[in-house]
Amino acid sequence: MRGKVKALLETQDLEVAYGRIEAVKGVSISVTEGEVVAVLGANGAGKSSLLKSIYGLVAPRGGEVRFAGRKLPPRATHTRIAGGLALVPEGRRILVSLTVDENLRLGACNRGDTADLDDDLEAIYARFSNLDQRRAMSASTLSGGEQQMLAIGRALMARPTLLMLDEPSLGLSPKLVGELFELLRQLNDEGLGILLVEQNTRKALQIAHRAYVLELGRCVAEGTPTQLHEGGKIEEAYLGQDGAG
Amino acid sequence: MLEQQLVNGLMLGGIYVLVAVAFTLTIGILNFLNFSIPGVFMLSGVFTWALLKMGLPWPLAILGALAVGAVASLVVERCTYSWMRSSDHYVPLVSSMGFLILFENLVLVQWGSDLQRVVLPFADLNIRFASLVVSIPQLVSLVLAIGLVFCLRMLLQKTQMGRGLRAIAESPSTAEILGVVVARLVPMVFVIGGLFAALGGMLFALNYQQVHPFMGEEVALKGISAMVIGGMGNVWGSVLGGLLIGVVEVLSIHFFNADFVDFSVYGLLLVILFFKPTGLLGASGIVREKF
Repeated sequence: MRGKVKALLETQDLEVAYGRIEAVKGVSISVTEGEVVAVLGANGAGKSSLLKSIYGLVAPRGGEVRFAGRKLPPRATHTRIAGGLALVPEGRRILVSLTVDENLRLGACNRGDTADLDDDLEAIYARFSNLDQRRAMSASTLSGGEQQMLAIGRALMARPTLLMLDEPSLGLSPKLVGELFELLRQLNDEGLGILLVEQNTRKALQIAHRAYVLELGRCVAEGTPTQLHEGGKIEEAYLGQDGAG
Repeated sequence: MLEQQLVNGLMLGGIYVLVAVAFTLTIGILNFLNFSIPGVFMLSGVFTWALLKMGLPWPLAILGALAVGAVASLVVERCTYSWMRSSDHYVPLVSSMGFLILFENLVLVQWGSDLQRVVLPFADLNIRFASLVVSIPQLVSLVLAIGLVFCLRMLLQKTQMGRGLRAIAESPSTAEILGVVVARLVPMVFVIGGLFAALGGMLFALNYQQVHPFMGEEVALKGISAMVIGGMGNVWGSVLGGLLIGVVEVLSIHFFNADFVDFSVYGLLLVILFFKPTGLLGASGIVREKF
């Protein structure tokens, strides 16, 4: 366990429902500064709904979300970004009618201070040389892996203290998945907190300090990767699924 | 004299450009055909006349007419697009048409259906290039129309707000994820679109010196045609379409007579759509790059 105790992000008994279907049934998780936390579980376990309600894309039915000591309003994503919480959405959600450069700049559209925006942009280009070469081109010309880099770079433009990623490895080749997780580890080494929703359990547990396992909208296990493996909780949660990914 | 007619056509086209851009903005960004735009055009034209008649100095009358247009457009946004966003897409469309009829009838009740003559506050100013006569208000309209379209394009391409608007145009839900405050930008679209329509109505009143409650409808049909001819959602397409319709209209009066105008304008629309269904500058690829 890490020494820091100050929770950066905290949910308390969070409930999300779509009509009469309850997707998240009272989940409490926390992420401390600079920590990598994974949320694992099978399809339909409520992982994405949890992330969406934290980010304000769906209003929770009950419970609350606290970020950096403040209670977050139920909707309004821009308040998250201004406070330092960014999301890399499932499916990357690149804007293909905009250029690579415009996609990145849009990532900074609600951050508090825009003084160093150009410097940050250059830092992103230095990190992702493939994007650098395609600055002025339509984002539709990027490959799947490059689009994921763009989605991450765009989220970084908000200067987050906590980066949330929803199934970032989906649709990437094994080699690119390896590069993606290496990048996440690097970002974490630089101090960035990460909340990762993943179906690729094995990869996620390689970089996570702690993980939560969701099953049918409830948190059924939490702990360090070692604890979870020893307790056999991971395999349990995926019973009937195709193993541990 | 043909050259003179071409000049007149371009000047008339400038008004159509403004109306076409107003339509293009809400269609391109919000995917919403805002039928209240002719009403906003008419309100601004009628208020130009009414405020001048009240004895207001002309700069104030112009500003007042534009303000009426912007406010009317904002009212439409509050009561149609924002209010009914969750309903089926044709509901805001029909209710915006309701606003057109409402605006027309409010003016009808207040001032009657007669054609009102706008008395120009300044002497009729013309400049001459060789044998061509160009009226200064008309020239100002044309320059203003094209200049404003240029500014609008710069706004859409180069500013953070413009990028936010284009993000909404492509995907409102992705825009929300990126923190674009959709609820703050949508009224901006209506105000900007309303100002374009209001400017058109005000310039129409000053150039053609007549207003009436239904003046918006005919111009709006040509504005929509201009947008379609130019290519939906493309701002420069609206400019090209507007100027083209203005010239065709004036030339058909010159060569034939006034009864022939609609035949040639809408005939042109059909012919262009037959050969290029996306409009002259419309994108035909998979990726639709708007604006």
